[in-house]
Amino acid sequence: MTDSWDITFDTLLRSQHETVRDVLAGMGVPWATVDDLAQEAFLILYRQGRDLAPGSDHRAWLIGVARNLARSEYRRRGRSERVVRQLEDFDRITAREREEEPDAQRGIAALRACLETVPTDQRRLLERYYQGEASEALAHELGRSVNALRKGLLRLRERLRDCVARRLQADGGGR
Amino acid sequence: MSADDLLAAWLDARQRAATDAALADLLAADPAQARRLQDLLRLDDRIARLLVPERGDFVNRVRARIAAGDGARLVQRARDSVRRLRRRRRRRLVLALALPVAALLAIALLPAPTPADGAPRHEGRVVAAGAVIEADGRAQTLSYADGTAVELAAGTALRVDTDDGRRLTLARGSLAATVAPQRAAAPFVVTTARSEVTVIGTQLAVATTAGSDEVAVRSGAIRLRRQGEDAAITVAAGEEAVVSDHGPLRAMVSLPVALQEDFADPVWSRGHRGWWLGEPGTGPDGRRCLVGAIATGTEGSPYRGVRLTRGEALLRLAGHRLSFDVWVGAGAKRLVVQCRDLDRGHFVHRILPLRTGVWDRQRCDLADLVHTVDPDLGGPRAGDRLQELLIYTEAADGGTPPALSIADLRIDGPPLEPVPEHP
Repeated sequence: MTDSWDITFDTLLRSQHETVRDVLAGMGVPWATVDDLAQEAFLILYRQGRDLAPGSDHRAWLIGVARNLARSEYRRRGRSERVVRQLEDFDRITAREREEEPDAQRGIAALRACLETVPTDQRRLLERYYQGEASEALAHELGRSVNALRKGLLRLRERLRDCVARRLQADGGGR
Repeated sequence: MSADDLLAAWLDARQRAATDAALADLLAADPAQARRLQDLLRLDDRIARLLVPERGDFVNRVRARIAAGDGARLVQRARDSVRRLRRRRRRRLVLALALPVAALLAIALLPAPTPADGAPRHEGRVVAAGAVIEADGRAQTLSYADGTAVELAAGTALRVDTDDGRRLTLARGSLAATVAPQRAAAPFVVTTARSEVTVIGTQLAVATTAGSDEVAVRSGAIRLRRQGEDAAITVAAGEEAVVSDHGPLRAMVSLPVALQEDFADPVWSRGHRGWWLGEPGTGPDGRRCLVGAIATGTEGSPYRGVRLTRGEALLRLAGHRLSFDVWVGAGAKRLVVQCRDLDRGHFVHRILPLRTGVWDRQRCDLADLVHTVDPDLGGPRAGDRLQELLIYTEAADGGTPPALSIADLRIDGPPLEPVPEHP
Protein backbone atom coordinates (compact mmCIF):
# COMPACT_ATOMS: atom_id res chain seq x y z
CA MET A 1 0.00 0.00 0.00
CA THR A 2 1.63 3.18 -1.12
CA ASP A 3 -0.62 6.06 -2.20
CA SER A 4 -2.84 8.24 -0.04
CA TRP A 5 -5.93 6.14 -0.72
CA ASP A 6 -4.10 3.06 0.50
CA ILE A 7 -3.34 4.84 3.75
CA THR A 8 -6.92 6.06 4.08
CA PHE A 9 -8.22 2.58 3.37
CA ASP A 10 -5.92 0.96 5.89
CA THR A 11 -7.11 3.41 8.52
CA LEU A 12 -10.72 2.59 7.71
CA LEU A 13 -9.99 -1.11 7.77
CA ARG A 14 -8.43 -0.97 11.22
CA SER A 15 -10.95 1.45 12.71
CA GLN A 16 -14.20 0.27 11.13
CA HIS A 17 -14.05 -3.48 10.80
CA GLU A 18 -15.80 -4.02 14.11
CA THR A 19 -18.51 -1.56 13.08
CA VAL A 20 -19.04 -3.35 9.77
CA ARG A 21 -19.28 -6.69 11.52
CA ASP A 22 -21.76 -5.25 14.01
CA VAL A 23 -23.91 -3.87 11.20
CA LEU A 24 -23.96 -7.23 9.42
CA ALA A 25 -24.63 -9.25 12.54
CA GLY A 26 -27.25 -6.73 13.68
CA MET A 27 -29.10 -7.28 10.40
CA GLY A 28 -29.38 -10.93 11.28
CA VAL A 29 -26.56 -12.31 9.14
CA PRO A 30 -25.47 -15.62 10.74
CA TRP A 31 -22.12 -15.58 12.50
CA ALA A 32 -20.70 -18.08 10.00
CA THR A 33 -21.29 -15.59 7.16
CA VAL A 34 -20.48 -12.28 8.84
CA ASP A 35 -16.74 -12.68 8.26
CA ASP A 36 -17.14 -13.36 4.53
CA LEU A 37 -19.48 -10.43 3.96
CA ALA A 38 -17.30 -8.07 6.01
CA GLN A 39 -14.32 -9.00 3.86
CA GLU A 40 -16.35 -8.42 0.72
CA ALA A 41 -17.44 -4.99 1.96
CA PHE A 42 -13.83 -3.91 2.52
CA LEU A 43 -12.66 -5.34 -0.79
CA ILE A 44 -15.36 -3.38 -2.59
CA LEU A 45 -14.39 -0.27 -0.63
CA TYR A 46 -10.75 -0.74 -1.56
CA ARG A 47 -11.47 -0.96 -5.26
CA GLN A 48 -14.19 1.66 -5.54
CA GLY A 49 -13.57 4.00 -2.64
CA ARG A 50 -10.72 5.83 -4.35
CA ASP A 51 -13.15 6.90 -7.11
CA LEU A 52 -15.60 8.56 -4.72
CA ALA A 53 -15.85 12.34 -4.90
CA PRO A 54 -13.44 14.27 -2.63
CA GLY A 55 -14.94 14.79 0.79
CA SER A 56 -17.15 11.72 0.54
CA ASP A 57 -18.00 9.93 3.76
CA HIS A 58 -16.19 6.64 3.20
CA ARG A 59 -17.46 5.21 6.46
CA ALA A 60 -21.10 5.80 5.54
CA TRP A 61 -20.45 4.41 2.06
CA LEU A 62 -18.83 1.32 3.54
CA ILE A 63 -21.76 0.70 5.86
CA GLY A 64 -24.13 1.12 2.92
CA VAL A 65 -22.19 -1.55 1.03
CA ALA A 66 -22.39 -3.85 4.05
CA ARG A 67 -26.16 -3.37 4.30
CA ASN A 68 -26.58 -4.15 0.60
CA LEU A 69 -24.50 -7.29 0.96
CA ALA A 70 -26.64 -8.39 3.90
CA ARG A 71 -29.85 -7.84 1.92
CA SER A 72 -28.42 -9.78 -1.02
CA GLU A 73 -27.47 -12.59 1.31
CA TYR A 74 -31.04 -12.78 2.61
CA ARG A 75 -32.44 -12.96 -0.90
CA ARG A 76 -29.90 -15.58 -1.88
CA ARG A 77 -30.81 -17.73 1.11
CA GLY A 78 -34.51 -17.28 0.59
CA ARG A 79 -34.96 -15.94 4.11
CA SER A 80 -37.72 -13.60 5.23
CA GLU A 81 -36.98 -10.02 4.21
CA ARG A 82 -39.45 -8.87 6.85
CA VAL A 83 -37.03 -9.95 9.56
CA VAL A 84 -34.09 -8.13 8.01
CA ARG A 85 -36.16 -4.99 7.45
CA GLN A 86 -37.26 -4.95 11.07
CA LEU A 87 -33.76 -5.54 12.36
CA GLU A 88 -32.41 -2.87 10.01
CA ASP A 89 -35.04 -0.35 11.11
CA PHE A 90 -34.27 -1.07 14.73
CA ASP A 91 -30.55 -0.78 14.03
CA ARG A 92 -31.02 2.69 12.55
CA ILE A 93 -33.02 3.76 15.62
CA THR A 94 -30.32 2.59 18.00
CA ALA A 95 -27.30 3.59 15.89
CA ARG A 96 -26.56 6.69 17.95
CA GLU A 97 -26.88 4.75 21.16
CA ARG A 98 -24.41 2.18 19.89
CA GLU A 99 -21.89 4.88 18.98
CA GLU A 100 -21.77 5.72 22.67
CA GLU A 101 -21.00 2.14 23.68
CA PRO A 102 -17.55 1.21 24.95
CA ASP A 103 -15.06 0.55 22.19
CA ALA A 104 -15.18 -2.87 20.65
CA GLN A 105 -11.78 -3.97 21.90
CA ARG A 106 -12.83 -3.50 25.50
CA GLY A 107 -15.98 -5.51 24.84
CA ILE A 108 -13.96 -8.30 23.24
CA ALA A 109 -11.52 -8.34 26.14
CA ALA A 110 -14.44 -8.61 28.55
CA LEU A 111 -15.94 -11.42 26.52
CA ARG A 112 -12.63 -13.27 26.52
CA ALA A 113 -12.51 -13.04 30.31
CA CYS A 114 -16.12 -14.20 30.57
CA LEU A 115 -15.43 -17.21 28.34
CA GLU A 116 -12.73 -18.24 30.79
CA THR A 117 -15.40 -18.60 33.46
CA VAL A 118 -17.57 -20.97 31.41
CA PRO A 119 -17.42 -24.56 32.77
CA THR A 120 -15.22 -26.85 30.70
CA ASP A 121 -18.01 -29.00 29.26
CA GLN A 122 -20.03 -25.99 28.19
CA ARG A 123 -16.98 -24.29 26.72
CA ARG A 124 -16.19 -27.44 24.74
CA LEU A 125 -19.77 -27.43 23.46
CA LEU A 126 -19.38 -23.80 22.39
CA GLU A 127 -16.09 -24.55 20.64
CA ARG A 128 -17.57 -27.41 18.66
CA TYR A 129 -20.67 -25.41 17.78
CA TYR A 130 -18.70 -22.41 16.55
CA GLN A 131 -16.32 -24.64 14.65
CA GLY A 132 -19.30 -25.57 12.55
CA GLU A 133 -20.65 -28.80 14.02
CA ALA A 134 -24.39 -28.93 13.45
CA SER A 135 -26.64 -28.56 16.45
CA GLU A 136 -28.52 -31.66 15.28
CA ALA A 137 -25.35 -33.76 15.54
CA LEU A 138 -24.41 -32.24 18.91
CA ALA A 139 -27.89 -32.77 20.29
CA HIS A 140 -27.85 -36.38 19.14
CA GLU A 141 -24.51 -36.97 20.82
CA LEU A 142 -25.65 -35.37 24.05
CA GLY A 143 -28.97 -37.18 24.07
CA ARG A 144 -30.95 -33.95 23.95
CA SER A 145 -33.50 -32.62 21.50
CA VAL A 146 -32.33 -30.02 19.02
CA ASN A 147 -34.74 -27.53 20.51
CA ALA A 148 -33.35 -28.13 23.99
CA LEU A 149 -29.80 -27.70 22.74
CA ARG A 150 -30.68 -24.48 20.92
CA LYS A 151 -32.32 -23.07 24.02
CA GLY A 152 -29.37 -24.14 26.12
CA LEU A 153 -27.06 -22.26 23.77
CA LEU A 154 -29.38 -19.26 23.95
CA ARG A 155 -29.14 -19.23 27.74
CA LEU A 156 -25.38 -19.62 27.57
CA ARG A 157 -25.11 -16.68 25.20
CA GLU A 158 -27.27 -14.58 27.50
CA ARG A 159 -25.11 -15.41 30.48
CA LEU A 160 -22.07 -14.30 28.49
CA ARG A 161 -23.83 -11.12 27.38
CA ASP A 162 -24.72 -10.28 31.00
CA CYS A 163 -21.19 -11.14 32.14
CA VAL A 164 -19.71 -8.75 29.55
CA ALA A 165 -22.08 -5.98 30.64
CA ARG A 166 -21.13 -6.46 34.30
CA ARG A 167 -17.41 -6.39 33.54
CA LEU A 168 -17.68 -3.25 31.42
CA GLN A 169 -19.71 -1.57 34.12
CA ALA A 170 -17.21 -2.57 36.77
CA ASP A 171 -14.47 -1.04 34.59
CA GLY A 172 -16.39 2.24 34.60
CA GLY A 173 -17.21 2.27 30.91
CA GLY A 174 -20.57 0.61 30.95
CA ARG A 175 -23.65 1.91 29.29
CA MET B 1 -43.59 -21.03 19.83
CA SER B 2 -42.19 -18.87 22.59
CA ALA B 3 -39.92 -15.88 22.01
CA ASP B 4 -37.01 -17.97 23.29
CA ASP B 5 -37.79 -20.71 20.77
CA LEU B 6 -37.95 -18.24 17.88
CA LEU B 7 -34.74 -16.46 18.84
CA ALA B 8 -32.90 -19.71 19.52
CA ALA B 9 -33.99 -21.06 16.13
CA TRP B 10 -32.88 -17.92 14.29
CA LEU B 11 -29.51 -17.85 16.02
CA ASP B 12 -28.93 -21.47 15.10
CA ALA B 13 -30.59 -21.60 11.71
CA ARG B 14 -28.22 -21.51 8.80
CA GLN B 15 -30.69 -22.25 6.10
CA ARG B 16 -34.11 -22.91 7.58
CA ALA B 17 -36.84 -20.35 7.20
CA ALA B 18 -39.78 -22.11 8.80
CA THR B 19 -40.04 -19.77 11.77
CA ASP B 20 -39.13 -16.54 9.95
CA ALA B 21 -42.70 -15.28 9.69
CA ALA B 22 -43.40 -15.85 13.38
CA LEU B 23 -40.12 -14.14 14.30
CA ALA B 24 -40.96 -11.16 12.09
CA ASP B 25 -44.30 -10.84 13.90
CA LEU B 26 -42.55 -11.01 17.27
CA LEU B 27 -39.98 -8.34 16.37
CA ALA B 28 -42.71 -6.06 15.03
CA ALA B 29 -44.69 -6.40 18.23
CA ASP B 30 -41.86 -6.21 20.73
CA PRO B 31 -38.81 -3.97 20.12
CA ALA B 32 -37.20 -5.39 23.26
CA GLN B 33 -36.92 -8.73 21.50
CA ALA B 34 -35.34 -7.01 18.47
CA ARG B 35 -32.70 -5.50 20.74
CA ARG B 36 -32.17 -8.83 22.48
CA LEU B 37 -31.71 -10.62 19.16
CA GLN B 38 -29.31 -8.00 17.82
CA ASP B 39 -27.22 -8.10 20.98
CA LEU B 40 -26.96 -11.87 20.74
CA LEU B 41 -26.17 -11.84 17.01
CA ARG B 42 -23.28 -9.43 17.62
CA LEU B 43 -22.12 -11.46 20.56
CA ASP B 44 -22.24 -14.59 18.35
CA ASP B 45 -19.80 -13.08 15.88
CA ARG B 46 -17.37 -12.20 18.65
CA ILE B 47 -17.60 -15.58 20.35
CA ALA B 48 -16.91 -17.29 17.02
CA ARG B 49 -13.78 -15.19 16.53
CA LEU B 50 -12.48 -15.86 20.00
CA LEU B 51 -13.10 -19.59 19.92
CA VAL B 52 -12.01 -20.30 16.35
CA PRO B 53 -8.49 -18.96 15.85
CA GLU B 54 -8.67 -18.86 12.05
CA ARG B 55 -11.52 -16.36 12.35
CA GLY B 56 -9.20 -13.90 14.08
CA ASP B 57 -6.83 -11.36 12.49
CA PHE B 58 -9.47 -9.98 10.16
CA VAL B 59 -7.37 -6.98 9.13
CA ASN B 60 -4.47 -9.04 7.85
CA ARG B 61 -6.74 -11.45 6.04
CA VAL B 62 -8.33 -8.54 4.14
CA ARG B 63 -4.88 -7.14 3.33
CA ALA B 64 -3.81 -10.55 2.04
CA ARG B 65 -6.86 -10.78 -0.22
CA ILE B 66 -6.16 -7.33 -1.61
CA ALA B 67 -2.54 -8.30 -2.26
CA ALA B 68 -3.85 -11.38 -4.08
CA GLY B 69 -6.06 -9.23 -6.30
CA ASP B 70 -9.35 -10.43 -4.83
CA GLY B 71 -10.68 -6.89 -4.62
CA ALA B 72 -10.45 -6.44 -8.36
CA ARG B 73 -12.12 -9.74 -8.94
CA LEU B 74 -14.89 -8.98 -6.50
CA VAL B 75 -15.74 -5.64 -8.05
CA GLN B 76 -15.58 -7.09 -11.51
CA ARG B 77 -17.90 -9.79 -10.29
CA ALA B 78 -20.39 -7.22 -9.03
CA ARG B 79 -20.30 -5.34 -12.33
CA ASP B 80 -20.81 -8.51 -14.27
CA SER B 81 -23.52 -9.86 -12.00
CA VAL B 82 -26.41 -9.21 -14.35
CA ARG B 83 -24.61 -10.74 -17.29
CA ARG B 84 -23.54 -13.65 -15.12
CA LEU B 85 -27.08 -14.37 -14.02
CA ARG B 86 -28.16 -14.62 -17.65
CA ARG B 87 -25.31 -16.92 -18.54
CA ARG B 88 -25.31 -18.90 -15.33
CA ARG B 89 -27.65 -21.65 -16.25
CA ARG B 90 -26.09 -22.27 -19.66
CA ARG B 91 -22.57 -22.32 -18.19
CA ARG B 92 -23.51 -24.75 -15.46
CA LEU B 93 -24.92 -27.15 -17.98
CA VAL B 94 -21.67 -26.97 -19.92
CA LEU B 95 -19.63 -27.44 -16.74
CA ALA B 96 -21.74 -30.38 -15.69
CA LEU B 97 -20.78 -32.11 -18.90
CA ALA B 98 -17.19 -30.92 -19.15
CA LEU B 99 -15.90 -31.28 -15.60
CA PRO B 100 -16.40 -35.02 -15.21
CA VAL B 101 -14.49 -35.47 -18.48
CA ALA B 102 -11.77 -33.09 -17.29
CA ALA B 103 -11.63 -34.88 -13.94
CA LEU B 104 -11.11 -38.22 -15.62
CA LEU B 105 -8.40 -36.75 -17.88
CA ALA B 106 -6.69 -35.23 -14.84
CA ILE B 107 -6.91 -38.54 -13.04
CA ALA B 108 -5.15 -40.23 -15.94
CA LEU B 109 -2.37 -37.63 -15.99
CA LEU B 110 -1.66 -37.50 -12.26
CA PRO B 111 1.79 -38.71 -11.08
CA ALA B 112 2.22 -42.07 -9.41
CA PRO B 113 0.89 -42.04 -5.84
CA THR B 114 3.10 -42.20 -2.75
CA PRO B 115 1.84 -44.38 0.12
CA ALA B 116 1.48 -42.68 3.48
CA ASP B 117 0.63 -43.52 7.08
CA GLY B 118 -3.10 -43.49 7.82
CA ALA B 119 -3.95 -43.99 4.18
CA PRO B 120 -7.13 -45.91 3.36
CA ARG B 121 -7.04 -49.48 2.14
CA HIS B 122 -8.71 -51.04 -0.83
CA GLU B 123 -8.70 -54.80 -1.22
CA GLY B 124 -6.01 -54.99 1.47
CA ARG B 125 -3.66 -52.55 -0.21
CA VAL B 126 -2.78 -49.04 0.87
CA VAL B 127 -4.30 -46.41 -1.42
CA ALA B 128 -2.21 -43.28 -1.81
CA ALA B 129 -3.08 -39.79 -2.99
CA GLY B 130 -3.93 -39.68 -6.66
CA ALA B 131 -5.14 -43.25 -6.88
CA VAL B 132 -8.35 -43.89 -8.75
CA ILE B 133 -10.72 -46.67 -7.83
CA GLU B 134 -13.07 -47.77 -10.55
CA ALA B 135 -15.77 -50.10 -9.31
CA ASP B 136 -16.54 -51.67 -12.64
CA GLY B 137 -19.00 -54.46 -12.47
CA ARG B 138 -19.22 -54.81 -8.70
CA ALA B 139 -19.41 -52.77 -5.51
CA GLN B 140 -16.13 -52.08 -3.71
CA THR B 141 -15.11 -50.74 -0.32
CA LEU B 142 -12.48 -48.28 0.86
CA SER B 143 -11.69 -48.76 4.55
CA TYR B 144 -9.85 -46.60 7.09
CA ALA B 145 -8.10 -47.34 10.36
CA ASP B 146 -10.60 -45.22 12.34
CA GLY B 147 -13.52 -47.33 11.17
CA THR B 148 -14.59 -45.08 8.35
CA ALA B 149 -15.82 -47.05 5.37
CA VAL B 150 -16.73 -45.86 1.89
CA GLU B 151 -18.72 -48.24 -0.27
CA LEU B 152 -18.67 -47.64 -4.00
CA ALA B 153 -21.60 -48.83 -6.08
CA ALA B 154 -20.86 -50.69 -9.30
CA GLY B 155 -19.91 -48.30 -12.08
CA THR B 156 -18.45 -45.70 -9.73
CA ALA B 157 -15.13 -43.88 -10.28
CA LEU B 158 -13.54 -42.32 -7.20
CA ARG B 159 -10.22 -40.52 -6.85
CA VAL B 160 -8.39 -40.31 -3.50
CA ASP B 161 -7.02 -36.76 -3.40
CA THR B 162 -4.91 -36.75 -0.23
CA ASP B 163 -2.50 -39.10 1.49
CA ASP B 164 -4.83 -39.58 4.45
CA GLY B 165 -7.71 -40.29 2.07
CA ARG B 166 -9.95 -37.69 3.66
CA ARG B 167 -10.53 -35.81 0.45
CA LEU B 168 -12.24 -37.79 -2.27
CA THR B 169 -13.51 -36.83 -5.70
CA LEU B 170 -16.52 -38.70 -7.02
CA ALA B 171 -16.13 -38.59 -10.80
CA ARG B 172 -19.17 -40.75 -11.54
CA GLY B 173 -21.59 -43.09 -9.84
CA SER B 174 -22.51 -43.18 -6.19
CA LEU B 175 -21.08 -44.00 -2.78
CA ALA B 176 -22.36 -44.65 0.71
CA ALA B 177 -20.09 -43.74 3.60
CA THR B 178 -19.98 -44.33 7.32
CA VAL B 179 -17.57 -41.72 8.60
CA ALA B 180 -16.13 -41.89 12.11
CA PRO B 181 -16.19 -38.58 14.05
CA GLN B 182 -13.62 -36.22 12.52
CA ARG B 183 -11.82 -33.22 13.89
CA ALA B 184 -13.62 -30.09 12.73
CA ALA B 185 -10.29 -28.70 11.51
CA ALA B 186 -9.68 -31.76 9.33
CA PRO B 187 -13.06 -32.90 8.05
CA PHE B 188 -13.78 -35.65 5.59
CA VAL B 189 -14.64 -34.08 2.22
CA VAL B 190 -16.27 -35.59 -0.85
CA THR B 191 -16.38 -33.42 -3.97
CA THR B 192 -18.04 -33.81 -7.33
CA ALA B 193 -17.90 -31.51 -10.32
CA ARG B 194 -20.94 -29.80 -8.91
CA SER B 195 -20.78 -29.89 -5.13
CA GLU B 196 -18.65 -30.31 -2.03
CA VAL B 197 -19.79 -32.35 0.98
CA THR B 198 -17.98 -31.73 4.26
CA VAL B 199 -18.46 -34.46 6.83
CA ILE B 200 -17.78 -34.25 10.53
CA GLY B 201 -18.88 -37.77 11.34
CA THR B 202 -21.96 -39.37 9.88
CA GLN B 203 -23.56 -41.91 7.60
CA LEU B 204 -24.34 -40.57 4.20
CA ALA B 205 -24.86 -41.38 0.55
CA VAL B 206 -23.68 -39.31 -2.40
CA ALA B 207 -24.62 -39.84 -6.03
CA THR B 208 -23.64 -37.80 -9.06
CA THR B 209 -25.40 -37.84 -12.42
CA ALA B 210 -25.33 -35.60 -15.48
CA GLY B 211 -28.22 -33.53 -14.15
CA SER B 212 -27.75 -33.36 -10.40
CA ASP B 213 -26.02 -34.62 -7.29
CA GLU B 214 -27.96 -36.18 -4.45
CA VAL B 215 -26.84 -36.34 -0.85
CA ALA B 216 -28.77 -38.21 1.82
CA VAL B 217 -27.72 -38.15 5.48
CA ARG B 218 -28.72 -41.01 7.74
CA SER B 219 -27.00 -39.90 10.96
CA GLY B 220 -24.94 -36.92 12.09
CA ALA B 221 -24.79 -33.96 9.73
CA ILE B 222 -22.78 -32.61 6.83
CA ARG B 223 -22.00 -29.26 5.29
CA LEU B 224 -22.82 -29.00 1.60
CA ARG B 225 -21.97 -26.33 -0.91
CA ARG B 226 -22.20 -25.96 -4.64
CA GLN B 227 -18.84 -25.81 -6.42
CA GLY B 228 -17.88 -22.21 -7.13
CA GLU B 229 -20.16 -20.80 -4.41
CA ASP B 230 -19.19 -19.82 -0.87
CA ALA B 231 -22.48 -20.41 0.89
CA ALA B 232 -22.94 -23.83 2.45
CA ILE B 233 -25.94 -25.48 4.06
CA THR B 234 -26.16 -28.09 6.78
CA VAL B 235 -27.90 -31.32 5.89
CA ALA B 236 -28.87 -33.16 9.06
CA ALA B 237 -29.86 -36.71 9.82
CA GLY B 238 -32.99 -37.74 7.98
CA GLU B 239 -32.58 -34.98 5.43
CA GLU B 240 -31.43 -35.04 1.87
CA ALA B 241 -30.38 -32.40 -0.62
CA VAL B 242 -30.27 -32.23 -4.38
CA VAL B 243 -27.62 -30.08 -6.04
CA SER B 244 -28.97 -29.32 -9.48
CA ASP B 245 -28.11 -26.79 -12.14
CA HIS B 246 -31.05 -24.67 -11.12
CA GLY B 247 -32.87 -23.75 -7.95
CA PRO B 248 -31.55 -22.87 -4.51
CA LEU B 249 -29.45 -25.22 -2.43
CA ARG B 250 -31.54 -26.53 0.43
CA ALA B 251 -31.98 -29.49 2.70
CA MET B 252 -35.23 -31.38 2.52
CA VAL B 253 -36.97 -33.63 4.94
CA SER B 254 -36.67 -37.08 3.55
CA LEU B 255 -40.18 -38.34 3.00
CA PRO B 256 -40.16 -42.01 2.17
CA VAL B 257 -42.41 -42.48 -0.81
CA ALA B 258 -44.66 -45.42 -0.28
CA LEU B 259 -45.80 -46.87 -3.57
CA GLN B 260 -48.61 -48.95 -2.22
CA GLU B 261 -50.45 -50.85 -4.87
CA ASP B 262 -53.39 -51.55 -2.67
CA PHE B 263 -54.18 -48.72 -0.32
CA ALA B 264 -57.83 -49.07 0.46
CA ASP B 265 -58.65 -48.51 4.11
CA PRO B 266 -62.40 -49.20 4.13
CA VAL B 267 -63.14 -46.32 6.48
CA TRP B 268 -60.77 -43.65 5.43
CA SER B 269 -61.02 -44.27 1.72
CA ARG B 270 -64.77 -43.77 1.65
CA GLY B 271 -65.63 -41.49 -1.21
CA HIS B 272 -62.18 -41.72 -2.64
CA ARG B 273 -62.30 -42.24 -6.37
CA GLY B 274 -59.35 -44.53 -6.47
CA TRP B 275 -55.88 -44.64 -5.14
CA TRP B 276 -52.95 -42.79 -6.37
CA LEU B 277 -49.57 -43.80 -7.50
CA GLY B 278 -46.44 -42.05 -8.43
CA GLU B 279 -42.94 -43.28 -9.01
CA PRO B 280 -39.42 -41.89 -9.12
CA GLY B 281 -38.40 -41.08 -12.67
CA THR B 282 -37.16 -38.38 -14.98
CA GLY B 283 -39.25 -35.33 -15.73
CA PRO B 284 -38.91 -32.39 -18.10
CA ASP B 285 -35.34 -31.05 -18.48
CA GLY B 286 -34.04 -34.44 -17.37
CA ARG B 287 -34.78 -33.63 -13.75
CA ARG B 288 -35.15 -36.47 -11.26
CA CYS B 289 -38.61 -36.30 -9.78
CA LEU B 290 -41.74 -38.17 -8.87
CA VAL B 291 -43.77 -38.83 -12.00
CA GLY B 292 -47.51 -38.79 -11.44
CA ALA B 293 -49.71 -41.69 -12.45
CA ILE B 294 -53.35 -41.87 -13.43
CA ALA B 295 -55.57 -42.79 -10.52
CA THR B 296 -56.50 -46.41 -10.58
CA GLY B 297 -59.79 -47.92 -9.56
CA THR B 298 -61.85 -45.62 -11.75
CA GLU B 299 -62.32 -46.07 -15.46
CA GLY B 300 -61.48 -43.07 -17.61
CA SER B 301 -60.17 -41.12 -14.64
CA PRO B 302 -59.34 -37.50 -15.45
CA TYR B 303 -56.94 -37.37 -12.50
CA ARG B 304 -53.20 -37.91 -12.30
CA GLY B 305 -51.25 -37.57 -9.10
CA VAL B 306 -48.67 -38.72 -6.63
CA ARG B 307 -49.30 -39.90 -3.11
CA LEU B 308 -46.68 -39.58 -0.41
CA THR B 309 -46.80 -41.18 2.98
CA ARG B 310 -44.38 -41.52 5.84
CA GLY B 311 -44.66 -45.24 6.08
CA GLU B 312 -46.49 -46.08 9.26
CA ALA B 313 -45.89 -42.62 10.71
CA LEU B 314 -48.31 -39.77 10.30
CA LEU B 315 -47.83 -36.04 10.23
CA ARG B 316 -48.92 -34.03 13.22
CA LEU B 317 -49.90 -30.65 11.91
CA ALA B 318 -48.26 -27.82 13.83
CA GLY B 319 -47.22 -24.97 11.60
CA HIS B 320 -45.90 -27.06 8.78
CA ARG B 321 -45.37 -25.58 5.35
CA LEU B 322 -45.25 -27.60 2.20
CA SER B 323 -43.24 -26.60 -0.84
CA PHE B 324 -42.37 -28.40 -4.03
CA ASP B 325 -41.50 -27.88 -7.68
CA VAL B 326 -44.20 -29.04 -10.04
CA TRP B 327 -44.45 -29.42 -13.80
CA VAL B 328 -47.95 -29.83 -15.21
CA GLY B 329 -48.64 -30.57 -18.87
CA ALA B 330 -51.02 -28.62 -21.08
CA GLY B 331 -54.72 -29.31 -20.74
CA ALA B 332 -54.87 -29.24 -16.96
CA LYS B 333 -57.89 -27.80 -15.23
CA ARG B 334 -56.48 -27.46 -11.75
CA LEU B 335 -53.70 -28.48 -9.39
CA VAL B 336 -54.64 -29.66 -5.92
CA VAL B 337 -52.84 -30.62 -2.74
CA GLN B 338 -54.89 -32.85 -0.47
CA CYS B 339 -54.42 -34.64 2.85
CA ARG B 340 -56.56 -36.94 4.90
CA ASP B 341 -57.26 -35.51 8.30
CA LEU B 342 -57.52 -38.44 10.68
CA ASP B 343 -58.76 -36.51 13.68
CA ARG B 344 -61.67 -34.93 11.87
CA GLY B 345 -62.34 -37.79 9.54
CA HIS B 346 -62.35 -36.07 6.18
CA PHE B 347 -60.23 -34.88 3.33
CA VAL B 348 -58.78 -31.41 3.38
CA HIS B 349 -57.38 -29.75 0.31
CA ARG B 350 -56.25 -26.58 -1.34
CA ILE B 351 -56.29 -25.58 -5.01
CA LEU B 352 -52.94 -24.14 -6.02
CA PRO B 353 -52.10 -21.61 -8.73
CA LEU B 354 -51.66 -23.48 -11.99
CA ARG B 355 -49.02 -22.82 -14.61
CA THR B 356 -48.54 -25.41 -17.30
CA GLY B 357 -45.46 -26.36 -19.28
CA VAL B 358 -42.93 -24.94 -16.79
CA TRP B 359 -41.31 -25.97 -13.52
CA ASP B 360 -43.14 -23.91 -10.91
CA ARG B 361 -42.37 -23.64 -7.19
CA GLN B 362 -45.49 -24.08 -5.07
CA ARG B 363 -45.83 -23.21 -1.41
CA CYS B 364 -48.70 -24.00 0.89
CA ASP B 365 -49.27 -23.89 4.64
CA LEU B 366 -50.85 -27.15 5.67
CA ALA B 367 -52.97 -25.20 8.13
CA ASP B 368 -54.59 -23.47 5.12
CA LEU B 369 -56.14 -26.63 3.77
CA VAL B 370 -59.95 -26.68 3.94
CA HIS B 371 -62.61 -29.35 4.02
CA THR B 372 -62.88 -30.84 0.55
CA VAL B 373 -66.67 -30.99 0.49
CA ASP B 374 -67.73 -28.07 2.67
CA PRO B 375 -65.19 -25.27 3.17
CA ASP B 376 -67.30 -23.90 6.02
CA LEU B 377 -66.27 -26.90 8.06
CA GLY B 378 -62.78 -25.47 8.10
CA GLY B 379 -59.52 -27.30 7.89
CA PRO B 380 -57.06 -29.02 10.16
CA ARG B 381 -55.98 -27.43 13.40
CA ALA B 382 -52.67 -27.49 15.18
CA GLY B 383 -52.23 -30.92 16.66
CA ASP B 384 -54.43 -32.64 14.12
CA ARG B 385 -52.93 -35.67 12.46
CA LEU B 386 -52.68 -35.86 8.72
CA GLN B 387 -52.19 -39.08 6.89
CA GLU B 388 -50.75 -39.20 3.39
CA LEU B 389 -50.28 -36.29 1.08
CA LEU B 390 -51.76 -36.18 -2.39
CA ILE B 391 -50.77 -33.81 -5.15
CA TYR B 392 -52.90 -34.23 -8.23
CA THR B 393 -54.07 -32.55 -11.38
CA GLU B 394 -57.28 -32.91 -13.33
CA ALA B 395 -57.85 -32.81 -17.08
CA ALA B 396 -59.72 -29.70 -18.26
CA ASP B 397 -61.99 -31.59 -20.63
CA GLY B 398 -62.47 -34.61 -18.45
CA GLY B 399 -60.30 -36.62 -20.80
CA THR B 400 -56.81 -37.98 -20.40
CA PRO B 401 -55.08 -36.29 -17.44
CA PRO B 402 -52.02 -34.16 -18.25
CA ALA B 403 -48.47 -35.06 -17.25
CA LEU B 404 -47.47 -34.26 -13.67
CA SER B 405 -43.96 -34.22 -12.18
CA ILE B 406 -43.01 -33.31 -8.61
CA ALA B 407 -39.48 -32.48 -7.40
CA ASP B 408 -37.71 -30.98 -4.38
CA LEU B 409 -40.65 -31.62 -2.10
CA ARG B 410 -40.06 -30.26 1.36
CA ILE B 411 -42.01 -29.87 4.56
CA ASP B 412 -40.73 -27.05 6.74
CA GLY B 413 -41.62 -26.73 10.34
CA PRO B 414 -41.12 -28.60 13.60
CA PRO B 415 -39.77 -32.13 13.33
CA LEU B 416 -42.34 -34.50 11.89
CA GLU B 417 -43.29 -36.65 14.79
CA PRO B 418 -44.70 -40.12 14.53
CA VAL B 419 -48.12 -40.37 16.13
CA PRO B 420 -50.24 -43.39 16.93
CA GLU B 421 -52.62 -44.85 14.41
CA HIS B 422 -56.17 -43.61 14.58
CA PRO B 423 -58.10 -45.62 17.17
